[in-house]
Amino acid sequence: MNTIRSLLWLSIIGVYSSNAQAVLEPFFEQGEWTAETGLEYRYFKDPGDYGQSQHAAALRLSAEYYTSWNDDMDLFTFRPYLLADFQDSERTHFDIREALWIHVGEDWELRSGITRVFWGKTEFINLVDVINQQDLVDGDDEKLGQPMINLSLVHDWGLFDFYLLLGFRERTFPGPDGRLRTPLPVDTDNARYSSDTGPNDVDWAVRWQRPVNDYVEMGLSLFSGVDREPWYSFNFDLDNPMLVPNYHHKDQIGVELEFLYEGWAVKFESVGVRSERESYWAAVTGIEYSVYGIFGSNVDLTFITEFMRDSRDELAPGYLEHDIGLGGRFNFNDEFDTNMLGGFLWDPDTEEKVISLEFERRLYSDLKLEIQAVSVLERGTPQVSDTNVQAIAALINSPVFGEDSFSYAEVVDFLAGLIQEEGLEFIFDPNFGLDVLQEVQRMSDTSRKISVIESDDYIQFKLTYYY
Amino acid sequence: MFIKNNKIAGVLVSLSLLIGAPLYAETPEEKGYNIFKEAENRDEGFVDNEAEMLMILMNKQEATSEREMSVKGLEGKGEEGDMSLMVFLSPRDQKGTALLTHQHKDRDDDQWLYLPALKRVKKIASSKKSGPFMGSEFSFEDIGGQSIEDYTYKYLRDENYEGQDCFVVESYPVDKNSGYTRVVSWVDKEHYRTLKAEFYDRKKSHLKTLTASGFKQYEGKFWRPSEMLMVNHQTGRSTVLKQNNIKFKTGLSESDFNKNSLKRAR
Repeated sequence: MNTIRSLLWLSIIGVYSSNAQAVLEPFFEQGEWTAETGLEYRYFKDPGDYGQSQHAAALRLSAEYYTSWNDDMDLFTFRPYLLADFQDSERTHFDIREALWIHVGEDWELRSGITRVFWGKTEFINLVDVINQQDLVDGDDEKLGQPMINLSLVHDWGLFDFYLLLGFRERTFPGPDGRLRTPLPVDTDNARYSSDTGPNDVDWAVRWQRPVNDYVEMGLSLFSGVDREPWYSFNFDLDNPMLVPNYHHKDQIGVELEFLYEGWAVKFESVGVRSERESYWAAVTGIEYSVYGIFGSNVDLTFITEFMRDSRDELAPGYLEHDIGLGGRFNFNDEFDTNMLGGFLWDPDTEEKVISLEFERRLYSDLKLEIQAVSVLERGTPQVSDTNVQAIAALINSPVFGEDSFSYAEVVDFLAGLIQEEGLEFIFDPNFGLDVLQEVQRMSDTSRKISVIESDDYIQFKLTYYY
Repeated sequence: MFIKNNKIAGVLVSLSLLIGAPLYAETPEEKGYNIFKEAENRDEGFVDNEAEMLMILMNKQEATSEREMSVKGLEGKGEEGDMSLMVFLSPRDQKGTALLTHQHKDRDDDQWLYLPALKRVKKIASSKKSGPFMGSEFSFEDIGGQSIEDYTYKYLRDENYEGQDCFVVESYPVDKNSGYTRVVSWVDKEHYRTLKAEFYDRKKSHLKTLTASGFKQYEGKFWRPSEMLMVNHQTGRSTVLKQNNIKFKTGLSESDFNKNSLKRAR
């Protein structure tokens, strides 16, 4: 693997150096810098479960350098990015969102360097979108830059993209002082990799897109590489309990379909995944209807309905395993580009209900305001055994408690430690006991993932100034 | 017998069209169509073009905001429609947002919007015609290229407009999604340029007036206005659209008008 990677890099460097003069000269002659500064403030309705502050502020700095030469057949973009959080040091990070050289041919283009890629059609979730790691601490739609070589071919049969992904980026997680964190913080410094994977993995992906007829567009994609979504294990350190992210290999096939007719849109995304740990499928289907100029105004309104299903059910990593999403997007079509998006997610099985509202508007020519409010109306409860006794029985009968289990001793130690601290009664405490047991079971069962991110209500204001 | 006579009449009509000397009176509908057909013919062969655009949005007489765009166009070959790519340069938060249009003569156009923050290409429904284009007084149907089949026509009268002899033609959109019931256009007799147009909304009341000025000729053939003013009479708002640096035959090809070029458009 390493040899292949070195060879690849050598060939890229080779391309650069042989044309070094021709390439470097225009870099500083006709390039153009732009930049933006963003201030973010979040107010949480309640203090954090783990003593975190109700107020959170952050600063975003980002710049972009762009130049082109060779009659716009070669382009280069460099985009460094810094997020500084005043409460959570784990959220503070620097990333190169883009450092990309694009060479354009007649019906192909080669993109080499670091960039971000979007795949997908639907709104609430994009199952097929797999190239970049999520920049979780930054936001739902934010991604870390991924080093790659991407050859794109424009053919009569459609658009073909071939990706060689050079190296793997680990997901970012909030630290102990951050909000929207897991009950136990994630130990990002000690991520583990399966024997087939590693931080220097070279992965690949292919995507084929084409129109099927005048109304339907399709996409078909393959991915083979490190699953961007980690599994978690417990570090069994009672002085400093943390979750350890575990990365594994996965192969994924993805399908995208989009049908547009008049104001109607029908969208579909589905993936089939076989990983080192599991095989599953997931799908999302959506229907959208747009009304242009509601009530004789200039405002466009789009109604969005999406149905999500994950064959892993409650073992799915996110909370969108069997949910219904309803949304309304208001596009004011005014000179301030005012937009509003309301979303409602409902899981009929667990009665999980989340509502979110987003609003954006330009205040002056270079200043933009974004407001987002999220409220968890109903916290879904996982379906577990009715009584504590049953829960304990299930726990003791679970495979992790078998004598052969590698974590047997550690779990027993952990339980013993808890009993020592809390007393034996905690097991029979109807509220506390069951929660702790679930926690222990979740932590000790390394075959499970977690989806227990703190579900606080908050409102976020973001002001961005563009230079 | 009757049928035979009709056939002869048909042959006569086509003969007269070939000779070019009308032996029969054009109906107002035919005359209106022919005026726009001639305008279209005179614009054929532009191959490709590029321009910089500045859009100034105004409230009564006061400018409230500006948008800069760069536009590229490619003439369709044969039965293919034209293609265009429009990129926004300002306001800064919209920089890189781009719109790709593939026009079709026999069906709805295809349009894709690129959102640079998400790196996402979204196909957009072509029924969004009547809505305002980026908050301006121009609607999507005003901005997007139009083919002659999008309207039916009726010649009204000759009239002098600002010292130029003009045809006044009324046109009626075919598409029910259009925001207009009719458009009255002043087309000058010498160069077949639309100098002025009045737009009537679905309630048939006068909604907007477009005036084009500062015409320049390019390549010894193609006339383009350097400024277009659209006034909305119902709101009092208006938009000025200025075109600069217009270039023809810059060597663009179909590969400059696909999803890949949309994503790297500047």
